[in-house]
Amino acid sequence: MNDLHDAAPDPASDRPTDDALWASIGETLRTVVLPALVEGRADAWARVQTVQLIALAEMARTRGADPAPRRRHELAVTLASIAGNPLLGDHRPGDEHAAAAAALAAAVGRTDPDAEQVRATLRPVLVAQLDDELSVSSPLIEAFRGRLPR
Amino acid sequence: MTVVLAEPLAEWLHAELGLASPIAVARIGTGHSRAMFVATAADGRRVVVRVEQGGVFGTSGAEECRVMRALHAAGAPVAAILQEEKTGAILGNPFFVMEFVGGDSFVDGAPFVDGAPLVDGGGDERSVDSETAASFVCELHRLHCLDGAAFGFAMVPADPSEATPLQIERWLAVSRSAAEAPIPLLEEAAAWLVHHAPPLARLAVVHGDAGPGNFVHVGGRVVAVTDWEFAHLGDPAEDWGFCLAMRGARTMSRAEWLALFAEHAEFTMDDEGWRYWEAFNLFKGACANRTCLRLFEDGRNRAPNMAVIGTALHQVFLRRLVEIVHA
Repeated sequence: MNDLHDAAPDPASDRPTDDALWASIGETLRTVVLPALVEGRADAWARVQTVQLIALAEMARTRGADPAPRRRHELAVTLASIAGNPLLGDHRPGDEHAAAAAALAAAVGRTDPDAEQVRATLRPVLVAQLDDELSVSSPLIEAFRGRLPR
Repeated sequence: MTVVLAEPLAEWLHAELGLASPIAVARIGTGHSRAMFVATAADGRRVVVRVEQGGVFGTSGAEECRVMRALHAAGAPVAAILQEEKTGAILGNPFFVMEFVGGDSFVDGAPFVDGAPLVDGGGDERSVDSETAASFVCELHRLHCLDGAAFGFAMVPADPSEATPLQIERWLAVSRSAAEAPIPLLEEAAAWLVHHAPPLARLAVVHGDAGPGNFVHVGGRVVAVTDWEFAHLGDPAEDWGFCLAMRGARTMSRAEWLALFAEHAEFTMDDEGWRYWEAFNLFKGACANRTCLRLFEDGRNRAPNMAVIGTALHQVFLRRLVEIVHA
């Protein structure tokens, strides 16, 4: 679905692009709906929810392809690099997160080389992936505070 | 509340509690785990309606209601429960009704997801003076001193030493139930928290979301503690840690809170202890927040705040948690 979503629009298409649709939703909420929810007279909850919808629409428009397959592959490669580590159980393709979770949990409280290898190898990849996702989602925090996205 | 829901609620309140019609219903606060409404009857009588939101945060309104009833009966500063609707037939979700307790800071209704300084809720509902803060500390300490076994909690550890690991297990299960695959950094943190769990000698009633914004105060005195959905049996340090690092962080300085804890609750802890409980509360938040994405995706709750909490807030909590665990 995301591949389709991200495919370049066919110039011959009569359909509005997803980009234009999301932009329309965000702009209309921002310029028409929100000003109509006059502060002090409207339900504060309605205002907060509208601000959050604006942020979600902007995120939907700009976030790009779902990185989950790339990240899973990245984790699979990382796990393969420590394949002989006894803390890493056998796992099948698709079980990378469960395998990484089990290995990291098993390493807690241990200072031996196997545990150190699990931590030193897996943590940087997983933290980098978390930071990568935060860079996409963090604008939502402002909206959660009730502040309009820029 | 939408007109669609306000009308059946008003009819129900009239039929069940005898509230005089017409009944005006207005949402209060910006809570996420429960939607809160004030219903005002024609004769001015007011009640508060607390509505579940499809299972947000994996907490149970039925247990919250049961615990609140027991705590109120024991003399704790908790609003009286007036009626409960368990079926979801009226509003699409179960709800309960409690007495309205007026005060300078009624109920912000916002559970702990936006309590952390990591995620500033934006309002000033947590602004309290030092006299009120002291009263809150006294009330929380009084709560911690109650005999907790009799209060209707769903989980009763066989031994105090099991309480904290049991809570970690609980929240990890909540997270797992809301995600397609285990979240490795969260699973590692759970193991770290169990490994470092401090010993506990006596089970206490823990509020679980304690701090400014979750109590009502009048004239410097706390008259009701609110938002009990996270209450459980456990270690009082969880509440002190939550107040210090999250709900109370914007209200007063760390030093001022620590002084109040020591003076009014005789509670002190070393830096390692405070760091542990901050990690515990971040873990709890990260797990609970993750449920929102599941509800958003499966259609049980399509509100935009569910998407925000289930993604950005979950990740912010997890990121800070990782900093502590990996330090």
